[in-house]
Amino acid sequence: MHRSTPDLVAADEPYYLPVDDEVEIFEAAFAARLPVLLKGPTGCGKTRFVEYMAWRLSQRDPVGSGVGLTTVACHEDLTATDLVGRYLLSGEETVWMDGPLTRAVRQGDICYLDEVVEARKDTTVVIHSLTDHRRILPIEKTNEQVRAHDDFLLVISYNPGYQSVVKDLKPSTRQRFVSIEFDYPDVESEAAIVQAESGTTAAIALQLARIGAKTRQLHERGIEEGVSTRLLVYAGTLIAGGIAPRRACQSAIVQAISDDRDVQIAVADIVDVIIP
Amino acid sequence: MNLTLSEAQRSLGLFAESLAGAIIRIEALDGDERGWPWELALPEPLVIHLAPVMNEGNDNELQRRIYRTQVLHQLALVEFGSFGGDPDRPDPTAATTHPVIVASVHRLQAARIVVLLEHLRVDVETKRSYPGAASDLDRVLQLARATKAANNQEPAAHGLVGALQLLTLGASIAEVSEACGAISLTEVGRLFSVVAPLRVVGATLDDSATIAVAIAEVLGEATNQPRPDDGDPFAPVVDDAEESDPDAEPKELDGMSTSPPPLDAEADRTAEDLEGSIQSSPLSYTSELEQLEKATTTTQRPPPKRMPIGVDPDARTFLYDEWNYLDRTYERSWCRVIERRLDGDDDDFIGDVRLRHARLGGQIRRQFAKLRPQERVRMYRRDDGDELDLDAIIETIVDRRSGVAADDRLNIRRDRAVREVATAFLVDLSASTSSPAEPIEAPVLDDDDDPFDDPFQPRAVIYDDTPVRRVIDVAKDAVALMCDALGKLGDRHAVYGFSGQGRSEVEFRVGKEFDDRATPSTWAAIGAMQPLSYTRMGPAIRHAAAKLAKQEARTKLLIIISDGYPQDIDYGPDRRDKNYGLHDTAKAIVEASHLGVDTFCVTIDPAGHDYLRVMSPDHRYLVIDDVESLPSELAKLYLDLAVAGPSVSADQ
Repeated sequence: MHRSTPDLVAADEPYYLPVDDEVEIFEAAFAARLPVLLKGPTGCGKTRFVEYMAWRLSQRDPVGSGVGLTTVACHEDLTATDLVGRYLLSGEETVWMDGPLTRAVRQGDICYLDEVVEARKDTTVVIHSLTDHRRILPIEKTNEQVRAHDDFLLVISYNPGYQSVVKDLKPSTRQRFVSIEFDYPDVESEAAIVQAESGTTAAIALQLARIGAKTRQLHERGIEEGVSTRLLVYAGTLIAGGIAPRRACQSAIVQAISDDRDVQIAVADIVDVIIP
Repeated sequence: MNLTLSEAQRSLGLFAESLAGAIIRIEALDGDERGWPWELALPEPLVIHLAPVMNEGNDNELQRRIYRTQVLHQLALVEFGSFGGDPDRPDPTAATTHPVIVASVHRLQAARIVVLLEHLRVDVETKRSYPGAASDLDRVLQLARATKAANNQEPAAHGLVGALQLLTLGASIAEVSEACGAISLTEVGRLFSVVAPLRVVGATLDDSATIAVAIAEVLGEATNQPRPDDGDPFAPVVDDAEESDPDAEPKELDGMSTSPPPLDAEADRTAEDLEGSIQSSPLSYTSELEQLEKATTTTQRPPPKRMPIGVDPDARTFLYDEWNYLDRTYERSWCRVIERRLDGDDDDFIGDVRLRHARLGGQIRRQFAKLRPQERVRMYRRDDGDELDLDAIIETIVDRRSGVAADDRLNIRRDRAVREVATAFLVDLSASTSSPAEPIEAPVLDDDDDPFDDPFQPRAVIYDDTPVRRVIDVAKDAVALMCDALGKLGDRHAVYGFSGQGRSEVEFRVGKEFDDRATPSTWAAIGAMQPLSYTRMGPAIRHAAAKLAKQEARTKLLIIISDGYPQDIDYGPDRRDKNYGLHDTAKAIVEASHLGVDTFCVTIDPAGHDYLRVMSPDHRYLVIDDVESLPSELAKLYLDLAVAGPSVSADQ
């Protein structure tokens, strides 16, 4: 048993509907310990995919607890220190506390840096040495070089739709990863996902998927991005919980997608004409 | 108070765009026209014309839903194939030039009927695919039927065509029968049976065309014969040949009998009586066809220009309102701004600029250096950093010993200071910027080749082989020098170019975005700015201001560099009217100020004073006489503006 965060890998199989050959590519990348870059819009299933792959890979090690998953939601104030670790005061002394990346490197987890380009630039310096043949993590403050566990894999994601700073992700960084591109699934697949995730009926799920597909056709019109699959699942969940379909869509979709009044009216109109 | 189209125009446009996946224009109809279903014309596929004021319905919410239903119906015509099988390339003549229609003997009548049938088929399909719209659709059709009934004082005048129109408007058998006294209840039932295949899942334009041809044949034959008032409207009077052939099979129309009507009653009539009967008939078949023609004439507006969506996958499009100073109103979503990234291959551009303006570049950098803030600032009480924050440590120890929750952030971090200025340079890329920056001098003779030395030698003329520097070249130099200096200063900046050729093609070229680093490709992109076409300034300012408004900076500057007044091929109803563009641009500048964006216009047009004083607030414009002085003037201007700070603030 080589790891200590079994709570981060789902005990049951997470629901994931493959839309292409992404599962095979990820498995091949994991086998070769090639870092993976996931590209795709918000709420299209990148995080769920990583959870699913972590679970799937963990099934290969039934004796131990398999491959763990450490997820870090990156933000603009996230520094390399936040990833690697820092000295903290404990009683009358200072103690070193590993950051999530260091823990994953030591334990052999999949470390998933979600929306990595949001983080400060110094984080890319840290991950470089983990993504090539060296597979080491230098920790300056402890004067340590941590060699990555055999099962460690770095996965990063970003959304090329609204993160213009992706151009600042240097080619020297980008070209260290195997890229898998995600997009919203087609209406039928998305309906299946919404039904499975929310527990609503097939008919409602199909209507929600159609609402999603229609609203995504609004480009740069007060909406940064179209309705995500996640929001559709929320709406389906509310409906399954007894909320009237239009009211559920109002809360989960219309209000969530934009603060622009006209955009809200237009999206509400889409809901109105699709939901009986 | 009735709802006006302008109040609902934007949300309806967004709704249409959601449904269609393309930009759909919502425009007001002229005069008293009200659009579908009050006028059963086949519309233009990508432009939806609606009444300027909604007079139907008794509250604004219902009136908005009527507008919405009209929008949905037209887009459903596209979605469900009335304009052909490819929704991305809708063909307005797809129904009327359907092969079955074209092959019909009664082609004109069939072409008109197929339009009616398509309205019916698409409405049925719309209710299936958009069940939430079904009740509104029924209500709108009911209103249209009520209007039709109110406008027609003699319901009995309706014959087959009238029945078909009512059927298209969703009338029941009983309603049609009551309204159309000229045909019996049985025949109305037969008409419903004929069009029944259009209500089946999967019905297509092909089905409408086939049924339209069948109905047109009946109508066409009937128009050639006097029709008995009480006869079968679908059963024309047999012609002589058929009459003389007792074995001829009667025509069948999907179960409808087309056998000759009982002619006993007519037998005693004279030819004059029959003629008089036709003339006195409230609505003859011929007049029905005329009515049908009137009702189904395709609108005569010119076909809309296809929006080049998808031509360039890297292009992004945005719609902006335009100020119509003549009507003192905004034309909603009037201008389409197409944003594209510039991509250049002149990697020497910035090197050449630095070389050409070495002295000036040095001066600008030195002047700007005075604005430069301290390189790094110390940020106290941080989680991590380069130094320990002794004050914080002492406080923490005191807190701990006194039993108070202590703050563990004990470091000092040195961060790069950021000046709070963001500047966008908006460069006019109109065709006129291709004119020489300086007058071209006449070629000079080479003194060494005096023609009198050797009269047989061709006279040698020396042309200066230096490329003529154009206005755009000087503008690019000026902007590049500014970017070079601002990059070192640390001020955020962007470079855009604009031009236009009509309101649907306002070009907005991005040389450098705020987040772009000063890489060789960025410099090459700025160097790639080239003259294009016209100067539609208003939408370009609105788009640049929208980008600037998103920047987190205390001072947001938009510097517009132009060589003439705003003009475009359709900048106002009269192309010669310069005032329309000026007023729209002035309005765009006011809008920018509401977003917290300071604008400043710089022009090299000597006549600039005349219109800039209309367009720009006082002291917010500069007219430069000597084009080559633009780089130095721009630097001075920036120093003044940046030091002065913001003169406007965003509306809350």
